Amino acid sequence: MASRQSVLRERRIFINIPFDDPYERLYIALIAGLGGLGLIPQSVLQIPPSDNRLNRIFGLLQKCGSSINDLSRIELDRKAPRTPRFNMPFEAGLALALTLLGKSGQLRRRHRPFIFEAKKYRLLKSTSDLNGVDPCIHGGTAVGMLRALTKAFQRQGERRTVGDLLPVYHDLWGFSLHLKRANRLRDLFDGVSFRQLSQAARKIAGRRHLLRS
Amino acid sequence: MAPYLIRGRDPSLMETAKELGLSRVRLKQVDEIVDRIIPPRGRIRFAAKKMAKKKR
Repeated sequence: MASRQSVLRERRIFINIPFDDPYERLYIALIAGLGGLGLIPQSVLQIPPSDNRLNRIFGLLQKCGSSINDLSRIELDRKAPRTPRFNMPFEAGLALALTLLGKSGQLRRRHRPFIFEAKKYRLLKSTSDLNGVDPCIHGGTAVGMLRALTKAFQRQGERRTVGDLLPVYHDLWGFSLHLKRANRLRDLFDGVSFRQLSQAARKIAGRRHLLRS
Repeated sequence: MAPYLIRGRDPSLMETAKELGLSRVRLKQVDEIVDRIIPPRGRIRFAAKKMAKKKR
Protein backbone atom coordinates (compact mmCIF):
# COMPACT_ATOMS: atom_id res chain seq x y z
CA MET A 1 0.00 0.00 0.00
CA ALA A 2 1.27 3.47 -0.93
CA SER A 3 2.45 5.61 1.97
CA ARG A 4 0.79 8.93 2.77
CA GLN A 5 3.91 10.78 1.60
CA SER A 6 3.94 9.09 -1.80
CA VAL A 7 0.20 9.75 -2.26
CA LEU A 8 0.82 13.40 -1.42
CA ARG A 9 3.75 13.50 -3.85
CA GLU A 10 1.54 12.16 -6.66
CA ARG A 11 -0.99 14.91 -5.94
CA ARG A 12 1.62 17.70 -6.11
CA ILE A 13 1.91 19.22 -9.60
CA PHE A 14 4.67 21.68 -10.38
CA ILE A 15 3.42 24.38 -12.76
CA ASN A 16 5.98 25.99 -15.02
CA ILE A 17 4.11 28.80 -16.76
CA PRO A 18 4.60 32.43 -17.88
CA PHE A 19 3.63 35.13 -15.40
CA ASP A 20 2.08 37.93 -17.44
CA ASP A 21 -1.30 39.63 -17.87
CA PRO A 22 -2.37 37.97 -21.16
CA TYR A 23 -1.83 34.57 -19.50
CA GLU A 24 -4.04 35.36 -16.49
CA ARG A 25 -7.18 33.52 -17.70
CA LEU A 26 -5.13 30.41 -18.46
CA TYR A 27 -3.44 30.71 -15.05
CA ILE A 28 -6.85 30.76 -13.31
CA ALA A 29 -8.12 27.91 -15.52
CA LEU A 30 -5.03 25.84 -14.71
CA ILE A 31 -5.42 26.30 -10.94
CA ALA A 32 -9.20 25.69 -11.16
CA GLY A 33 -8.69 22.55 -13.24
CA LEU A 34 -6.06 21.11 -10.91
CA GLY A 35 -8.24 21.92 -7.89
CA GLY A 36 -11.20 20.18 -9.56
CA LEU A 37 -9.07 17.12 -10.21
CA GLY A 38 -8.06 17.00 -6.54
CA LEU A 39 -4.43 17.91 -7.28
CA ILE A 40 -2.25 20.51 -5.52
CA PRO A 41 -0.41 23.02 -7.74
CA GLN A 42 3.12 24.06 -6.74
CA SER A 43 4.99 26.97 -8.31
CA VAL A 44 8.21 28.97 -8.18
CA LEU A 45 6.00 31.80 -6.87
CA GLN A 46 6.17 30.04 -3.51
CA ILE A 47 9.94 30.42 -3.45
CA PRO A 48 11.28 33.77 -2.23
CA PRO A 49 14.08 35.30 -4.36
CA SER A 50 17.38 34.24 -2.82
CA ASP A 51 20.86 32.96 -3.67
CA ASN A 52 19.92 29.30 -3.74
CA ARG A 53 16.81 29.77 -5.87
CA LEU A 54 17.86 27.15 -8.41
CA ASN A 55 18.43 24.56 -5.67
CA ARG A 56 15.03 25.30 -4.21
CA ILE A 57 13.30 25.06 -7.59
CA PHE A 58 14.96 21.68 -8.16
CA GLY A 59 13.99 20.60 -4.64
CA LEU A 60 10.37 21.62 -5.24
CA LEU A 61 10.34 19.73 -8.56
CA GLN A 62 11.60 16.60 -6.82
CA LYS A 63 8.75 16.84 -4.32
CA CYS A 64 6.20 16.79 -7.16
CA GLY A 65 4.97 13.67 -8.95
CA SER A 66 4.31 15.57 -12.19
CA SER A 67 4.92 18.92 -13.80
CA ILE A 68 3.11 21.05 -16.33
CA ASN A 69 5.52 22.90 -18.58
CA ASP A 70 3.77 25.46 -20.76
CA LEU A 71 6.04 26.34 -23.68
CA SER A 72 3.42 28.40 -25.52
CA ARG A 73 5.00 31.75 -24.72
CA ILE A 74 8.72 31.63 -25.20
CA GLU A 75 8.69 34.54 -27.65
CA LEU A 76 10.80 37.70 -27.41
CA ASP A 77 9.75 40.17 -24.70
CA ARG A 78 8.94 43.82 -25.42
CA LYS A 79 11.65 45.51 -23.37
CA ALA A 80 14.97 46.37 -25.02
CA PRO A 81 17.23 44.48 -25.46
CA ARG A 82 14.61 42.00 -26.66
CA THR A 83 15.34 38.55 -25.28
CA PRO A 84 13.52 35.21 -25.46
CA ARG A 85 11.98 33.91 -22.23
CA PHE A 86 14.24 31.09 -21.16
CA ASN A 87 12.84 30.29 -17.71
CA MET A 88 10.10 27.95 -18.93
CA PRO A 89 12.23 25.78 -21.26
CA PHE A 90 14.97 25.78 -18.62
CA GLU A 91 12.65 24.46 -15.91
CA ALA A 92 11.14 22.01 -18.42
CA GLY A 93 14.69 20.74 -18.95
CA LEU A 94 15.08 20.21 -15.20
CA ALA A 95 11.80 18.27 -15.11
CA LEU A 96 12.87 16.11 -18.07
CA ALA A 97 16.24 15.45 -16.40
CA LEU A 98 14.38 14.22 -13.31
CA THR A 99 12.35 11.86 -15.50
CA LEU A 100 15.47 10.46 -17.17
CA LEU A 101 17.15 9.94 -13.78
CA GLY A 102 14.01 8.16 -12.57
CA LYS A 103 13.91 5.89 -15.60
CA SER A 104 17.59 4.98 -15.30
CA GLY A 105 17.07 4.05 -11.66
CA GLN A 106 19.35 6.78 -10.32
CA LEU A 107 16.37 8.31 -8.52
CA ARG A 108 13.96 6.19 -6.53
CA ARG A 109 10.92 8.32 -7.33
CA ARG A 110 9.59 8.97 -10.81
CA HIS A 111 8.51 12.28 -12.24
CA ARG A 112 6.06 12.78 -15.13
CA PRO A 113 6.50 15.99 -17.13
CA PHE A 114 3.68 17.23 -19.37
CA ILE A 115 4.41 19.72 -22.12
CA PHE A 116 1.65 22.23 -22.89
CA GLU A 117 1.51 24.29 -26.06
CA ALA A 118 -0.97 26.66 -27.71
CA LYS A 119 -0.41 25.55 -31.30
CA LYS A 120 -0.09 22.10 -32.84
CA TYR A 121 3.30 21.16 -34.34
CA ARG A 122 5.00 24.36 -33.08
CA LEU A 123 6.90 22.38 -30.46
CA LEU A 124 8.58 20.39 -33.24
CA LYS A 125 9.85 23.65 -34.69
CA SER A 126 10.84 25.41 -31.45
CA THR A 127 12.29 22.42 -29.55
CA SER A 128 13.03 19.59 -31.95
CA ASP A 129 14.77 17.64 -29.14
CA LEU A 130 11.28 16.96 -27.81
CA ASN A 131 10.34 15.08 -30.97
CA GLY A 132 8.30 12.10 -29.81
CA VAL A 133 6.82 13.92 -26.84
CA ASP A 134 3.08 14.38 -27.29
CA PRO A 135 2.23 17.94 -26.17
CA CYS A 136 -1.17 18.89 -24.70
CA ILE A 137 -2.59 21.67 -26.88
CA HIS A 138 -4.68 24.32 -25.06
CA GLY A 139 -5.11 26.72 -27.97
CA GLY A 140 -4.61 29.72 -25.68
CA THR A 141 -8.12 29.47 -24.18
CA ALA A 142 -9.40 28.63 -20.69
CA VAL A 143 -11.64 25.83 -21.99
CA GLY A 144 -8.71 24.49 -24.01
CA MET A 145 -6.61 24.49 -20.84
CA LEU A 146 -9.26 22.48 -18.96
CA ARG A 147 -9.44 20.05 -21.90
CA ALA A 148 -5.66 19.66 -21.91
CA LEU A 149 -5.69 19.00 -18.15
CA THR A 150 -8.36 16.30 -18.35
CA LYS A 151 -6.32 14.67 -21.13
CA ALA A 152 -3.04 14.87 -19.21
CA PHE A 153 -4.38 13.69 -15.85
CA GLN A 154 -6.92 11.10 -16.96
CA ARG A 155 -5.10 8.46 -14.91
CA GLN A 156 -4.25 10.69 -11.96
CA GLY A 157 -6.56 12.46 -9.55
CA GLU A 158 -10.33 12.38 -9.93
CA ARG A 159 -11.81 11.56 -13.36
CA ARG A 160 -13.53 14.70 -14.52
CA THR A 161 -14.80 16.18 -17.77
CA VAL A 162 -14.43 19.76 -19.02
CA GLY A 163 -18.12 20.24 -18.16
CA ASP A 164 -17.35 19.33 -14.52
CA LEU A 165 -14.40 21.70 -14.30
CA LEU A 166 -15.91 24.69 -16.09
CA PRO A 167 -18.09 25.86 -13.13
CA VAL A 168 -15.01 25.70 -10.88
CA TYR A 169 -13.18 27.95 -13.35
CA HIS A 170 -16.06 30.45 -13.46
CA ASP A 171 -16.25 30.57 -9.66
CA LEU A 172 -12.49 30.90 -9.32
CA TRP A 173 -12.51 33.75 -11.83
CA GLY A 174 -15.11 35.50 -9.63
CA PHE A 175 -12.92 34.76 -6.62
CA SER A 176 -9.88 36.29 -8.35
CA LEU A 177 -11.77 39.55 -8.97
CA HIS A 178 -12.83 39.72 -5.32
CA LEU A 179 -9.28 38.97 -4.20
CA LYS A 180 -7.78 41.65 -6.42
CA ARG A 181 -10.24 44.22 -5.10
CA ALA A 182 -9.80 43.23 -1.45
CA ASN A 183 -5.99 43.19 -1.52
CA ARG A 184 -5.57 46.09 -4.03
CA LEU A 185 -3.64 43.86 -6.43
CA ARG A 186 -2.77 44.56 -10.05
CA ASP A 187 -2.19 40.89 -10.85
CA LEU A 188 -2.20 37.56 -9.04
CA PHE A 189 1.30 36.38 -9.87
CA ASP A 190 2.66 36.43 -6.32
CA GLY A 191 3.17 33.73 -3.72
CA VAL A 192 0.31 34.67 -1.40
CA SER A 193 -2.29 35.05 -4.19
CA PHE A 194 -1.14 31.79 -5.77
CA ARG A 195 -1.62 29.97 -2.46
CA GLN A 196 -5.03 31.59 -1.93
CA LEU A 197 -6.20 30.73 -5.46
CA SER A 198 -5.10 27.12 -5.04
CA GLN A 199 -6.89 26.80 -1.72
CA ALA A 200 -10.02 28.49 -3.14
CA ALA A 201 -10.06 26.11 -6.14
CA ARG A 202 -9.93 23.13 -3.76
CA LYS A 203 -12.72 24.58 -1.64
CA ILE A 204 -14.92 25.48 -4.62
CA ALA A 205 -14.47 21.98 -6.08
CA GLY A 206 -15.58 20.57 -2.71
CA ARG A 207 -18.63 22.82 -2.63
CA ARG A 208 -19.54 21.66 -6.12
CA HIS A 209 -19.27 18.04 -4.93
CA LEU A 210 -16.41 17.22 -7.25
CA LEU A 211 -14.13 15.89 -4.53
CA ARG A 212 -14.36 13.27 -1.86
CA SER A 213 -13.39 14.87 1.45
CA MET B 1 -18.82 33.91 7.56
CA ALA B 2 -16.73 30.80 7.92
CA PRO B 3 -15.59 30.06 11.43
CA TYR B 4 -12.44 28.03 11.91
CA LEU B 5 -14.21 25.36 13.92
CA ILE B 6 -16.28 24.42 10.89
CA ARG B 7 -13.39 24.25 8.48
CA GLY B 8 -11.64 21.94 10.91
CA ARG B 9 -14.18 19.26 9.95
CA ASP B 10 -12.75 18.91 6.45
CA PRO B 11 -9.28 17.39 6.92
CA SER B 12 -8.43 17.33 3.20
CA LEU B 13 -8.96 21.09 2.94
CA MET B 14 -6.73 21.65 5.94
CA GLU B 15 -4.13 19.33 4.40
CA THR B 16 -4.11 21.42 1.20
CA ALA B 17 -3.77 24.63 3.21
CA LYS B 18 -0.86 23.14 5.15
CA GLU B 19 0.75 21.88 1.95
CA LEU B 20 0.51 25.33 0.40
CA GLY B 21 1.82 27.02 3.56
CA LEU B 22 -1.10 29.42 3.78
CA SER B 23 -1.34 31.61 6.88
CA ARG B 24 -4.51 31.59 9.01
CA VAL B 25 -5.35 35.18 8.09
CA ARG B 26 -5.13 34.46 4.35
CA LEU B 27 -7.02 31.21 4.81
CA LYS B 28 -9.82 33.09 6.53
CA GLN B 29 -9.97 35.56 3.66
CA VAL B 30 -10.28 32.65 1.18
CA ASP B 31 -13.15 31.18 3.21
CA GLU B 32 -14.99 34.47 3.39
CA ILE B 33 -14.77 35.17 -0.35
CA VAL B 34 -15.70 31.59 -1.32
CA ASP B 35 -18.69 31.74 1.04
CA ARG B 36 -19.80 34.90 -0.72
CA ILE B 37 -19.54 33.25 -4.15
CA ILE B 38 -21.06 29.87 -3.20
CA PRO B 39 -22.97 30.16 0.08
CA PRO B 40 -22.64 27.07 2.27
CA ARG B 41 -25.65 24.79 2.66
CA GLY B 42 -27.17 22.52 5.26
CA ARG B 43 -25.34 21.76 8.45
CA ILE B 44 -22.39 24.01 7.61
CA ARG B 45 -24.69 26.94 6.92
CA PHE B 46 -26.59 26.32 10.17
CA ALA B 47 -23.35 26.21 12.16
CA ALA B 48 -22.09 29.36 10.43
CA LYS B 49 -25.30 31.19 11.34
CA LYS B 50 -24.97 30.04 14.93
CA MET B 51 -21.39 31.34 15.10
CA ALA B 52 -22.45 34.67 13.59
CA LYS B 53 -25.15 35.01 16.26
CA LYS B 54 -22.63 34.27 19.00
CA LYS B 55 -20.32 36.96 17.65
CA ARG B 56 -23.15 39.48 17.81
